[in-house]
Amino acid sequence: MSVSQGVMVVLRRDLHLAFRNRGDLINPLIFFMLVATLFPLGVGPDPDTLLVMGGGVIWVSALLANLLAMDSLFRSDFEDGSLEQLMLGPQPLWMIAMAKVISHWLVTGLPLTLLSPVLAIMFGLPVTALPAIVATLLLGTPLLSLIGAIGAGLTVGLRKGGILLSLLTLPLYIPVLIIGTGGIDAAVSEMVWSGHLMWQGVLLVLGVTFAPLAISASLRVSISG
Amino acid sequence: MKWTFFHRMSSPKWFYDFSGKCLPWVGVLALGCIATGLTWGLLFTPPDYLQGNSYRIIFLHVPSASLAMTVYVGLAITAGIGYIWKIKLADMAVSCLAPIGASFCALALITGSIWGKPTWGTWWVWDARLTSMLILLFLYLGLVALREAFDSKETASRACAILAMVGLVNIPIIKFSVDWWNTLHQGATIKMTERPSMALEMLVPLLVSIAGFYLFCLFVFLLRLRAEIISREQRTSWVRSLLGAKS
Amino acid sequence: MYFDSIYELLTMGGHGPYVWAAYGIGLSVLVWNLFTPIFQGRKTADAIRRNARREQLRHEQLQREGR
Repeated sequence: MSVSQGVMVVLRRDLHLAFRNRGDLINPLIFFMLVATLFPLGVGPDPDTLLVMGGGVIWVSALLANLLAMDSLFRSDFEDGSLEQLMLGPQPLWMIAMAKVISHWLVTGLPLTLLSPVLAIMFGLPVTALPAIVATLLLGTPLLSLIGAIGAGLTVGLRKGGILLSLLTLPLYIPVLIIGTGGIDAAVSEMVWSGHLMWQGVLLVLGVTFAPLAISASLRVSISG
Repeated sequence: MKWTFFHRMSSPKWFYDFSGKCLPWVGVLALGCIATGLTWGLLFTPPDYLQGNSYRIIFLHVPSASLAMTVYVGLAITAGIGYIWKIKLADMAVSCLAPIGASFCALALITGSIWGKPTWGTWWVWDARLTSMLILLFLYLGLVALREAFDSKETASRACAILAMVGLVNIPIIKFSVDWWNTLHQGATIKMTERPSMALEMLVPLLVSIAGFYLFCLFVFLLRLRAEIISREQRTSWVRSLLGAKS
Repeated sequence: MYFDSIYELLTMGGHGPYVWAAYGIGLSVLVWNLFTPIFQGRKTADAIRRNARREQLRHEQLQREGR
């Protein structure tokens, strides 16, 4: 079996598992909507305030939903020992990690992105800003998955990994959040937002380059340690 | 180049003996510099003509802020060295540096906030520097929490090393994006970045204080590392004979 | 000394509470940094000594029982 075939097998298996377990697929989305709903309830329904907050709220909710699903990224495979099996296989560990990250993104990041226009309209953001929201989330959520996977790899062997995982990864999410919301703000105030998108692209390239190394290193520590 | 030196230095026993010899000197120098710098700054410098006496906090704030950043970089580089060459001592150093850096980062934030109240009338502004410092504190706290979470100290320090390296790659990006965020949102009009060049009579005690803080950091780092070495090497004969616990 | 009286030193023209609070917190951070490793080192050293003594006692006991 070649390397790319191995990756495809892992990817297909993870997607199968996700689709068989509907809850895992839908719960992050419900969580995403729910967190975003809390903000108008907490701040008040004033349309002007909601317009200012909208982009940030959507991003923060996406970030939290992403984090919520991150805890289970490696956990079940770690607990039943299949992660160790995969590690012993001929495929390099980082490729397997990438396959898992891609499947995580396909299951959480992509649906979130597709759902975000609904939230944007509920927050009264102008229709002209919708492409910016979808585009920034489309480029930003893979990066969130990549960064989060590093933390997930480090905490997978711990019994109470969940809260620690958010403590480790949230500070690292900050640049993605700033650039993403910056792009949406620019689009809302009808300015050029392609620059933000390019910066997100730069960060994504950096993430794709370096995160696999860090993920596989962290998995090695968790498994052998 | 004698590589034997490098290897000898990374042996815990050799390091324990060597640091034991340096320790008193570093400690005396550190405490002397800190005492001199702080009393000088507190008692013998004239007040700032704009900020009055509240500027005296600078003799605490600047050293701890500078230390917080330097310690993180040092920690991440040590982590990298330890990870690549599998040096046990470097792993230990990482887990010793994290709480020290976190405490100085917190001190920089607290003193900055106390300084802000009489100067700008608020305890906190979402200024680029303060915000990046806060994020740095979170990075430190993440390291400390990760270290506490593992049962085995070896695994904990290797995990911390990876997190520290990831953090080091992220710090410039965080710094850049926070600066950018701050220029985008022009809400806060207070700028902390502009500081007129300092009078010599204020600069000298500040430099003494900075030197004292760095030496103090080195001192407590050595103390921590020695305690860590003892704890991890407790099964070896040299630690047992050192502690008079022969068996 | 720059200040004329102790009172002036304590109030610092209205900034006294801020300056002294900052210095107090600063000092406590320094003290914490200094004493944590010392106590920790002492605790581990004591634990190691205790373990060694226990091992030795058990060793002696085993020897006595063996005879």
